[in-house]
Amino acid sequence: MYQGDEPEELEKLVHADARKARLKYLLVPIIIYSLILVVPAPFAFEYGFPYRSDVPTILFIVGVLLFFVAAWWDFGAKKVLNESVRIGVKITNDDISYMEKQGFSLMMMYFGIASLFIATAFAVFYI
Amino acid sequence: MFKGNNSNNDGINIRARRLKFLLSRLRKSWKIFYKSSYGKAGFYIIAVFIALTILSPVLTFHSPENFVAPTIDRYRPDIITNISIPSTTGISASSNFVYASSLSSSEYSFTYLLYEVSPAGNIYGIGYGATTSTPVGKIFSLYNSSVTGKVIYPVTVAPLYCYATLYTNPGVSSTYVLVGSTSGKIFIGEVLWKSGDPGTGLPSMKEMANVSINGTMVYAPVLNSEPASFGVPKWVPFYSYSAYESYLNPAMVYVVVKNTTGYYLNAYEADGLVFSWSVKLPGSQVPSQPYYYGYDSEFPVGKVLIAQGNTIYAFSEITGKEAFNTTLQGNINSKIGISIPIGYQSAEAPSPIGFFSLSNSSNLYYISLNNGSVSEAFHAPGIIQGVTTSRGESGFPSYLFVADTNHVFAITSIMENSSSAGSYNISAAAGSFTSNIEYDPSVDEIYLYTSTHEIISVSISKSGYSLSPNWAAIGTGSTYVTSFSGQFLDTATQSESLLVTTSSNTIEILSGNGIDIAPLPPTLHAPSGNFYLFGTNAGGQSIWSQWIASFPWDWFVGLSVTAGIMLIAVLVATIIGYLGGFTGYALEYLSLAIYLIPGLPLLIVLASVLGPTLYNIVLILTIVGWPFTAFTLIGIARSLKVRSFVEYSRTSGAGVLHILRKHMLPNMLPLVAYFTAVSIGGAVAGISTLQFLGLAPTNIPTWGAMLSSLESNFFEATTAPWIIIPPAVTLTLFILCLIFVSRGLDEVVNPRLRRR
Amino acid sequence: MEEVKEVESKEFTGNSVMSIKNLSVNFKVAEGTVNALDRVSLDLAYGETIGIVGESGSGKSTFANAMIALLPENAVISGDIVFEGERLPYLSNVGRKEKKRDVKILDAKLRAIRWKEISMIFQGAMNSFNPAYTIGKQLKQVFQIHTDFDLDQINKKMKEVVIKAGLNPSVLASYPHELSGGMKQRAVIALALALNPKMVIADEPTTGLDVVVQAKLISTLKKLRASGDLKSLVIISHDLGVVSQLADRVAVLYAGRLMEIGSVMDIYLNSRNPYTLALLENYPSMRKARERVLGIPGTPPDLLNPPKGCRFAERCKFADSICTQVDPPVVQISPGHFSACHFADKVNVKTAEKKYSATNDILSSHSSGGLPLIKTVDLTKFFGLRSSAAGSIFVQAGKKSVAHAVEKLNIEIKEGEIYAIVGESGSGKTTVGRLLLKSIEPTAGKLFFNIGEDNVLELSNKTLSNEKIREFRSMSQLIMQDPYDSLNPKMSVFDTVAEPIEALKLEKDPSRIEAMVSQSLESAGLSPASNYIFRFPHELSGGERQRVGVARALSVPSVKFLLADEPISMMDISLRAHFLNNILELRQNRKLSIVYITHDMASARYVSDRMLIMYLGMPVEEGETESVITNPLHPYTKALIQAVPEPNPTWKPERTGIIGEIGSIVNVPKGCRFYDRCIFRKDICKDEAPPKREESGHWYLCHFSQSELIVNSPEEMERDVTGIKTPQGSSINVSGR
Repeated sequence: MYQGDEPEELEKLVHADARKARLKYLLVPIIIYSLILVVPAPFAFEYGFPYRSDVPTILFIVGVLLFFVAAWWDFGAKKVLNESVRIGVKITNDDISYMEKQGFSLMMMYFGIASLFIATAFAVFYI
Repeated sequence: MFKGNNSNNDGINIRARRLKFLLSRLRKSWKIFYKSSYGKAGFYIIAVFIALTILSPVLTFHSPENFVAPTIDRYRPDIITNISIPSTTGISASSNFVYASSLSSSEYSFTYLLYEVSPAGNIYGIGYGATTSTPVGKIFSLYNSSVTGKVIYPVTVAPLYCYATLYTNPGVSSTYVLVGSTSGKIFIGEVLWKSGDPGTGLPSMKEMANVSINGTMVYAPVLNSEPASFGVPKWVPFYSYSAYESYLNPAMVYVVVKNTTGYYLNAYEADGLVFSWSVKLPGSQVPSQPYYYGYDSEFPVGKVLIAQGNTIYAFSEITGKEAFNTTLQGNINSKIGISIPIGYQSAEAPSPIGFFSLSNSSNLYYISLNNGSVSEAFHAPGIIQGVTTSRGESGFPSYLFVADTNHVFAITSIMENSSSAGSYNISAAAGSFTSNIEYDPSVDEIYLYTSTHEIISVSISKSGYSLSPNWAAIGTGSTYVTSFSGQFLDTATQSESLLVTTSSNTIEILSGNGIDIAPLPPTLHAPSGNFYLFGTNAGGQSIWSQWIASFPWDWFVGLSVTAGIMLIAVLVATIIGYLGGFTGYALEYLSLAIYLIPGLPLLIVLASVLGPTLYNIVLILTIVGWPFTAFTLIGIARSLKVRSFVEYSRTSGAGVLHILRKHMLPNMLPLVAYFTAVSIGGAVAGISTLQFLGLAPTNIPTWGAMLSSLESNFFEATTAPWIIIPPAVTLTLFILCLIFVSRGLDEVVNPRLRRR
Repeated sequence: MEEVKEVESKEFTGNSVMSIKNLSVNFKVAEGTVNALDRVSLDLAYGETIGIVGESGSGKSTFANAMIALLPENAVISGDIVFEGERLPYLSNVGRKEKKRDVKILDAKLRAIRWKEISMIFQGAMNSFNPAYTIGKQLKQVFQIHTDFDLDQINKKMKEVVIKAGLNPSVLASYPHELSGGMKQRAVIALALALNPKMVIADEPTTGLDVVVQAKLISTLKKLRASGDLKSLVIISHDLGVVSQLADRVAVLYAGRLMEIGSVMDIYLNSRNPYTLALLENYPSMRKARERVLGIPGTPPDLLNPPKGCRFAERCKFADSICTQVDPPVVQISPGHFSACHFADKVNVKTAEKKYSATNDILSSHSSGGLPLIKTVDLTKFFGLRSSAAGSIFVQAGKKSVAHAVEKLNIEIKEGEIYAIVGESGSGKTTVGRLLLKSIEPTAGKLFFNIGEDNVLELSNKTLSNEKIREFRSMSQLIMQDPYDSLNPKMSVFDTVAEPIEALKLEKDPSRIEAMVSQSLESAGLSPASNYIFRFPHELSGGERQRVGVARALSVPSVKFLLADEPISMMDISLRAHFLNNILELRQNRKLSIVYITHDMASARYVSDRMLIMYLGMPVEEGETESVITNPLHPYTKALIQAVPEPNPTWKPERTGIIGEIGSIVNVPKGCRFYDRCIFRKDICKDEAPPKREESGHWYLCHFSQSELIVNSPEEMERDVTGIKTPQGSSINVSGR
């Protein structure tokens, strides 16, 4: 349920909420990742789809794309700022630096997954 | 006033009233549009464009895709050399030049000489050839002991064989010059080449043998040897070359002499001008020029034909005995005389015949040279002006060319009173044919000389017996005068050339096949009768037609691209602006990406990937174009979303579609109109750039395509400005007027800007 | 030019700061020339304040701009304005083409005068601050441009001016968006007084402010005038009450003509001009709220081709045939009091009373209303940053990021009842409106809507079927605040009014739609409907647009509930009364129940049966309108009622018992939300939430009963101010003086 602004004992609740949201962000690339790996598998066996050569290319491309998306996307920070102005919440400088920190960490996570893409691409290609 | 219960006509009533109201609103915004100076200027230019677009099918005189100016318009004689004759020599270009190739063995030698006799009696030769010894255009006197009396033209220069050289180099002839003078004397002399090989070194002439005739010459003496220009003759003057040819007759000189008692035809042996026979012509009229028949060695005895009054007499070449005489229905046309084409003297010809026409008659007759019977060969629409024939190399019947005042007919089977196979009529602008037709066997061309001093070369296609004009030598500065002595192979340029004398006292050697001088400048009457208002481009296509034809095409491209752009832009704008959410987000980044990639490289890459068809180009231009409009519309959509009337309709239960249709679109439309104007201009500019860079198909007549020919050769723009001016000006005007219109629309779109 | 030290009673010294002799201004517009001002003459003496009163379109702003020669190029000015004996150069003279050199000299002269001698508070200046710069920076620019003071001199001057305007010096460091409306307006005043000019022109200084803030601003201006910082002032407003407080002399402007001019007493108590009297009649003040007001019929004349004779003729009750032929003479009633009217002698307060207010039908008591149409149980609405996934990541843990817009609202609205929700801006009344209309989902609590035969819809549950929602939509409608923005400029009146019908797909046949549209147009007061149907919003006047909004709300026959969100705040006084009467008629013959959201107590009293007062999201008092108005219980309601301006000079704004301005709904105090501004506050109020108390027929939210409410002395006030930065002036203005 929604929690108001009661201090301290909600600290943990807020952090838990943040972690859950971060997971939601990461879910999308992970799903894509598994889709690319899983979906072509059956075709490879029945219809001789060249799994070893095609899947890595797709993975690689999507990986690079993910890098770009991670770099460009502000993960909704701009929307939060607009919302806070609308509601009337005051934004101080350390709020903004906190936001940048969060944004940066999310981007690094995306980079991690993107590099995972590329790593698996090479792995599938060579093994 | 509106009671709810009246019938359905009320519904129509509303629609009618709403329409009326829409009109009044349109009129009001038109007033605003018209008030702005830009709007007004833009409107008028666009009106002109639309008018031209509608009229374009009518105004396109030639079909833009596949019209190419006829060769007659595009080709001009290529003046190889131009020899001016110094006045000191006394000879002038207007007098009669005779061309004689110095013939050594069968193939043509390398120096050609022109012979001319000055009034003072000197014989001059003009060298023309590539050798150092006889540099081009050098004039030197061959024989300066004067020929007494004034020369009677034309002078005959012909190759004659002499017995003396029979054994040393058989079949080699040397060139003899035969001159008749008013002093009643005939002179003949051989041209000697110091180096012994004809055509090299400086020629000179030995003593000229002469004989005096008892009377005055009516015409210049004629030789029974083929004029030198026609290549290897068959007849040998002084000896019978039994090993080589069985029936060799000596070379004879014939001349028509008039003395107190009447007209005589005298014949002399060419060697030493020994008198052979003389025949009195029975009539009292002035006889025609003597025509010699019998070049072909197979025939036993040649005949000399001469016409007087309405009868043609034929005398035996050697003995002067009258072979036959035929009376005709009228006097013979002495300008054509009796044309005995070699082709008809060859063995394949069923019977040797000669052609003649009566004075200003439109019939052509042929006379059998065996028995002198006459029958009609061809009936031409106009008065017959000239006759010539192909040499028959391609087998008999070689065909005949008859020219009346403004037609030339190529006739095939003569014997069966043939129909004309193909005809070429001379365009009115170039006057009518006045002189005989020259035929050049090697390139199958005939040359016509017209009353406006033009030479027209017409090429013959044997397969279809069709005549198609090749080029026309419209007097470039100097008018072509007097004779032009047919074809010769210019060994210097190895091309068939034509020798012409001009009124400005020069001799010009024209190359046979002419040069293509397209792009033609704008002319109203080209030789072929066409007119090219804006001239033609290098490919010979009329610029005017291309220019006019590209109006609808450019509009088509502009409008289709704009329609595409507007559709996508509005769609994308509403999605991003109004609906927002994740798809909106992703779409925004996509459009940002397309927008940020620089336009031209993207265009080039897409064009090369998708291939240059028109629809691909439209697709590409749309892809590149839509972000520009989309971004502004996104702004508008976002601002509309927060407007209270949108919030109202949301709270009163309106669906998203209703809101888009009722609120978003009408408020975006004025801006869409503004952008339409801008992007039509952009699209046309786009396709022009692509075509200019050669990425788009240039078979579609658009202004860009017209300019694309420039890309490879900028220099052409300076030499032929008429190619680029119309498309360039129209393109600029088109884009400019669209920008003006959009400025005007801008007034309408946010009038509040202007008024308080 | 000697510095005149002002004394309480202002006597006029010698010649006038500015004298204007029959000034008329015409604007060349696309359609022709608009005659904005016609032969107006006025004199402003040193230290004197003149009030210029007039409705929108009467040429007040043009007059103000003319005074400071800021008229646009297409203005043609005749007559002259003399400032301190020297003719004020105009930008464009009558028809004379300015040479380049002349324009340059003109500009130099004007620049010398502007802001040093005459400064101006533009209309709506408070929201035209540059958001990127702090207030201090923008103030400094004024000094840097006009004076050659060095830096610390400028800083000292700035602090001085800001304090004079009643602002805390810390304001200099903050950005415009961080200040409340009142504070921004005071900053603008500071800006105007920076170079202590001889004359200040204030164009609508108090519009757009809440009643309480307005009252405080008026008292500040009065103090400035008393202290001599504000030498001579020209105050221009459509609000009679505000002008009555500040002006020594008042000029009444109508359609570009000066109708009446005289001292404040002459105009307000003994006016002799029909238009001024009509204005006074229609001014919604608390005292007269009970009498039925008819409003001034008709609309101001089109100045493109102004009518002959007196321009107020066709709306004037005293008009006669002569009025429409001959221009009214300027009659002197008493020294300094002139009125332009043919019947100046016959016209006075008593005779006008009969004409403009129908004395006979004092507003009958409102119908008590039938079944409860709408019922809310603990309806709360919080705007949280953390609601979205991104929000929960990017907002720091300890940060207060929840706006308590509406908290535990329990109201019941019966059928046929007009229920007013009153509160300052930012008190959450608009959010309540949105909640009732289900355009936003509540965070907690229940909302019931009775769609007839007592089957009640529970609107607040999310799983409501679309069918039900559509039915609710067809019964509820919204009337919006800004007439200019609530109509789609590209849709004709017919389409606008027919929109809800089409949106809910109630009717397809165009002729029946047309019938419904014309019927609702006529019931909204736009008759004959036929000549409005195909007109467009930009061809309608403000009043007509608002009536189209009403017609739009009524076009759906099944409407039972109307929500009017500040419908009259943007309208002229003469049109307001008409609109309110229209609302009352509709409630009568269509049995509509209407929620009327406003910050203007007077109009709420005029039209509503029951009333709810809200402060910072909390409903603080509710009850029958009459009992709430006659004896307000909650300190906030008391202050609101006192702050409503009275159109006569005797009304004292200083008496409003409230401190500072409304706080922010994000960091909401634990205890009573009114703690910061309550002059009766005690320690208990700070920590515990106040209970509901029932007294004399209605309830209010406070720890103390009426008798226990004792005004704190200034010292007590000082003591309690701990930590909470109350953005109000250094000297706390304790009421009662």
